[in-house]
Amino acid sequence: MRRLLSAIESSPSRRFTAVAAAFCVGTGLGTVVSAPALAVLPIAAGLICVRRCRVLALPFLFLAVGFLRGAWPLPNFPLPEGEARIEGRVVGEVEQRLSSQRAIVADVRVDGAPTGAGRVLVRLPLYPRVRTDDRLSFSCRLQRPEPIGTFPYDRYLAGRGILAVCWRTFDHAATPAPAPSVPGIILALKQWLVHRLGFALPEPSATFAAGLIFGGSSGLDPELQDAFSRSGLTHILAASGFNVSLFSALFYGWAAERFGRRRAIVLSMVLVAAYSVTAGAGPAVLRAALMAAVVLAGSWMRRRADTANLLLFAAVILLVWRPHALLTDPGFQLSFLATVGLLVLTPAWEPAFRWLPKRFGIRESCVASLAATALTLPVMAWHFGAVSVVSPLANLFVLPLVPPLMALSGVALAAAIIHPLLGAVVGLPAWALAQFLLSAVAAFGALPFAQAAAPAWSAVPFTLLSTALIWHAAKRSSSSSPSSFVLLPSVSGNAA
Amino acid sequence: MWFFAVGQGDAVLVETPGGKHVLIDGGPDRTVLTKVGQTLPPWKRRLDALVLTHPDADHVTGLAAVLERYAVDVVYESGRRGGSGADRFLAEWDVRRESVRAGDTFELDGVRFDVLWPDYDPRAFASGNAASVVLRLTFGETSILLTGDIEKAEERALAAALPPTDVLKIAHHGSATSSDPAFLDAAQPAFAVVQAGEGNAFGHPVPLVVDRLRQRGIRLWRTDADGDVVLRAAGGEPILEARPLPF
Repeated sequence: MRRLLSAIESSPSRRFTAVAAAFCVGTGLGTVVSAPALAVLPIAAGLICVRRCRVLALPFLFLAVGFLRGAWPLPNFPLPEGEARIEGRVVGEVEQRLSSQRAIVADVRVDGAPTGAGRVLVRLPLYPRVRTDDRLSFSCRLQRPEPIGTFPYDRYLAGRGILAVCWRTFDHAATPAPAPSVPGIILALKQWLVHRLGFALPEPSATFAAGLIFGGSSGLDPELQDAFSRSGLTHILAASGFNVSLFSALFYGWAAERFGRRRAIVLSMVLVAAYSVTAGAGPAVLRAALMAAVVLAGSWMRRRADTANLLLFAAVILLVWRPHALLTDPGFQLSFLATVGLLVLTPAWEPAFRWLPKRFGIRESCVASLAATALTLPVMAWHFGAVSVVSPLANLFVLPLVPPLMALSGVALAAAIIHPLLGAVVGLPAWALAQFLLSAVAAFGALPFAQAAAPAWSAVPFTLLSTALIWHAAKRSSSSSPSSFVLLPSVSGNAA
Repeated sequence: MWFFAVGQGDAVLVETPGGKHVLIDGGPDRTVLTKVGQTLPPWKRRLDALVLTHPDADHVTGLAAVLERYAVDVVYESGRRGGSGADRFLAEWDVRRESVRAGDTFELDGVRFDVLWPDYDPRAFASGNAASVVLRLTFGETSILLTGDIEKAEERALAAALPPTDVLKIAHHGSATSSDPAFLDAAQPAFAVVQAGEGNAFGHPVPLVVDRLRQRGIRLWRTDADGDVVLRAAGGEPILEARPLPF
């Protein structure tokens, strides 16, 4: 303990670690307890520490701030009785599913009366199409979201500001906004690119390739989605830290040669921000984007960031925005745990896998998959009640082929932008590889032992196992891996 | 010819000997894009014709999705409009449209498409189902009857002058409102195909219809149980088999 306090006192970097970690813990406690008045306890502890153990005063203060943020009450959203006419503005990306569209509506008015804070998640028929920024109106019987099994879907949505849902709408009509917002313009561009990709590749390859590049799998057939889940490969369809690091690294390398280092840094930051919007601004993408932004800023000042602090910085920013994500958002949990696995477990485990070839990233991919899988087991068991048994093997087989498919799809997209027919011809290699990978996913998912049931209580032993693995790995290797991690992507990054 | 398993809806793709493609109905969602994407050559983004039997959402929605992705030469339809957003989308899409009536015909690579129904202004029908476009396809000696969602009254009207057919696409997903015994006796199919969704809420195809087919010795293929069904014909006896597409 004394060594820990001494480390915090002597190093500004460790002081940040302590403060950020305290904020995260406070947020988690606050969301569980939901009693803002209890924040006086860490404040009192901090005040006591000012005299006796000065180094802990600030962490206690941030513990209190985090607690207040987590315990902050959600706005009230009165539900109308019976069917009502709902109006509002579409915010964020409209999810185009196989048989419906899903939109989030803000500035909601019920039968003409404003409701104040709170958003509505609405499922709409596929047509007419709804776009970001549209003024949307529909008739519906609003409902409160409900938990799905052990997954606190209601709290997950509440954390995103969604306090009511509507699963069956009538007479929906959308009017384009007179002046689209910046996210609206970026998302419209994304929709156009995805549409163009549809000219280059037939389905389901087009949706698969779009998922790899921009994230999202809801356009795939449910059976195929299930195969991805059973084979532990759903993460490749979620826009991930890998995408951010890959695109920012490629762009930075290209821009630095032409415009110089500093301009390349600024342009890369703009690209990362734009990509984050197109990819749906999910926790994994935002985490990677925030980490990339700090690394780029550090690169401007020719300084390297501490990797653990990078991760904590991203966590703090995301939790200030959405405090409930820590305990209710599987995307947040999976992304951060997988990243911890990559940063802590991978370097410690790699020597044990020297027998695997390095060619095509096989060794790196295998170790990274195992590391990410090991640390995400508790989340899988708790939220989804199942873990993929074939995940390491499936990832080993599929992951090395994902970057080539992304590259081929990108080329096909560029050709389709020039002319749809050119896209269809240039897209043939991407189509062939996509078909091969989808067949592999379907084959892994069809194995009778592909997935094992994991009751919610098994999250406890899995958590103990994960903790032991981190403890053991941290002892064996230094956790301070190069901060260039987010700018020098590898196949392994895909899991985060 | 493919009878796609697109859930509770119809979608049939006809491929002619010369590699032309006609899609008849599109099912209730975008599943048909995956089906078409796996059956057409990977470089092909053109369909020679779409046929909309009637504008209910379980027939038209997939066609709207297809129009967004594929170049289409012509859309054949009854001309009756429905109330779904997908039908409005299709009605506003910039594509050549032709309203068809009983007696109209078109031919592609020796495959003849005869329109048997509706026999008068489709807007005058009481329901959209009753105004469904009914097609009889013939290629050599092979004949296939595609019935949309017509019901017993229309079936009886057709039965009077209906030539025997090899394959019958059962009307209205095997609902009790259709597959009248007199119609089945007139059509005398050797094979029948029902397009219905697995575990659908309507119980389609209903046991009554299944029994009628069994009593007449008609071999029934069901997309809810068999998945995608493919029909091959070289102008003689057609061969049907269940061949679920991989994705």
